[in-house]
Amino acid sequence: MSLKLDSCNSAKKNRNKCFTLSRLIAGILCLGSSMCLVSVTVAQSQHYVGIGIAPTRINVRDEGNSPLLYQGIGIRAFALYQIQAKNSLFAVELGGQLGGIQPRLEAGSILLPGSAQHYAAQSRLSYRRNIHTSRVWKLAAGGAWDTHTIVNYYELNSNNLVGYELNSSVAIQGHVEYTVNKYWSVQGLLQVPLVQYVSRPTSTGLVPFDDDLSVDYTQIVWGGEWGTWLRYRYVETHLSIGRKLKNYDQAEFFYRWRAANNRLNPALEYAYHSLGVSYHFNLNSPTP
Amino acid sequence: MKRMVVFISLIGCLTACERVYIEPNQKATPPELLTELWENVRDQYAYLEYKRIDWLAIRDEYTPLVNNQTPTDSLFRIMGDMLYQLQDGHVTLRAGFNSARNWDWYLNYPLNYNELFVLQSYLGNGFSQTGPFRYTILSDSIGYLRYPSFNSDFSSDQMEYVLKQLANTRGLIIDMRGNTGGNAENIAKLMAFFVDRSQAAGQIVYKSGSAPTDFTTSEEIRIAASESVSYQKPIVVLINRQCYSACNIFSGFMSQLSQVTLVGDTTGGGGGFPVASELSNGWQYTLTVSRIMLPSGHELEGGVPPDINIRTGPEEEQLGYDAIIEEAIVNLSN
Repeated sequence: MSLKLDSCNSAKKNRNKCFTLSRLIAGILCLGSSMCLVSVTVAQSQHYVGIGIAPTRINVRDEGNSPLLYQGIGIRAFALYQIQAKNSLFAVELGGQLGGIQPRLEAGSILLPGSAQHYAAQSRLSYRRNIHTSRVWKLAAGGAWDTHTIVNYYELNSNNLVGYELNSSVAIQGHVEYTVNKYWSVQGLLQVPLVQYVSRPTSTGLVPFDDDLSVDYTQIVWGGEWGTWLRYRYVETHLSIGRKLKNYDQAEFFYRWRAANNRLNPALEYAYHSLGVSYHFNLNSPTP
Repeated sequence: MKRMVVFISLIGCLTACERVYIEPNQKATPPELLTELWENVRDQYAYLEYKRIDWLAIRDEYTPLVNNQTPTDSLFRIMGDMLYQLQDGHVTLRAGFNSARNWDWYLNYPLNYNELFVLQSYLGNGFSQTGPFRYTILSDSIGYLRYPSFNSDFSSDQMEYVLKQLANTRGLIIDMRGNTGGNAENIAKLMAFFVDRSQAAGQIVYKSGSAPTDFTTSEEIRIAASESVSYQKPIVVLINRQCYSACNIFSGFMSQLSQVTLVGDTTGGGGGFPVASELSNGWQYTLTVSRIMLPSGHELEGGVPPDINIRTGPEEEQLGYDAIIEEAIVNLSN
């Protein structure tokens, strides 16, 4: 390699080419070193697989179909994979939610019993680094790529309507953990989006001449727009009480709240309150 | 610990501010509800331009009738009257205590159908029933098939069985009189047994904005042929004013097939598909949000005229026949 670099110096016309080559070699070395470091870090990390379930209070107003606020109870389930290094955390989370919702009006209103089914799916890749640690508390900050999809099926007067929304965002996360003792800890997570892609296809109800609900996935995925905080906003919080178990697994009792306000046309607002439990299996057991 | 408390307090405050994200239902006044319904019609109803309805004038006519003290049942009646101006049987308003719909599409016309008489005089005790289909073979090897409602679902196997029973007929009468429509999926499902190849049957556009001319681009409606059985002999479809919505569209689509003749009275219309929604007080309404046309551009909202216009009624029944069925038999026999 040194011979090649020397020959480069001796041939002026090849300098640019050789400089590019040098950068490529340096890049490969850096990448290789980084991968080695990551590999070592990952190898020294704690790997967790978690599952959780939570009854969820669902509030939805989908103005594409109704001006009314629909409320109901659903169930949320999720699975996650976490890599916890000494100073960072990487997590992948996949979740789903379904529930039955009905319009709620003030007492005494004479209304017809409309109803709807609400489905939501969420995926999230997140990475956080510790920015301050002490014996009892830890503060971390990072980012996440969060994708959240909603499908509402409305049953009104024997007429089916469908409302969709897809939101994909790059968000910032703040996380704080307070260690009570060897076993117990309290954690809080706050996530707020920075950049968002929101797709909100117009609902036209059951499309005739189709055997199934006609869902144009191309339109849902590519028919969106970049949303600013003024037109679309969401906040997600996650509060949990964790209990470390003897085999280094961890159980959590958590409360999760996510609320969104979509000012695209037609507007969609929703809020979820989930109260549930999750269990995180430590794949490195028994050595922490 | 102090930072933890601050952080959790911040999360608590955000959670408490949920009303920033979701406002509670607003209690609308009667004038606001009337305006809400008027605006929804302006934005969603597909036939304002086709029917040359001056919706602004209708707002000016009905707005003075409502004030903050208007009783609930009066408000419902006024809003129902406003929707009546659309002259559309697909447009409805429903509350827990009442419902409003325009029935003019058949109430002002002769019925041209007596189910009991047809049952007694033509089907008798010898008819068969497979799923929703009643059928028999009349004199001169003419098949008779009745499909009473597009809300009645059926399987392809059932329809195949029916057509195999009618395979040796020289022609088929499909009696659609009194069929007020239903599930639009059954249009293509039924028609698939009468086309020999996939073909364009019509086109559909959806309302897409507040201007009367705001529509999506036209989408073609194609009917795929059944892969098992296909009836390609002469067919007469019997229609009357009570043939509405999906039945009206089926008749329009069938009228384009070379082996099909429509006999009876003009259908009741209903050339688009209604979609339901709600007002802020929980009342539900349906509006026609799409327009279906034949490939030629002919609108189906005004009904499908028959190839042979003929009427039947009590006088013919007293003489022992249904003039529309008899005309169909003559047509197929020839």
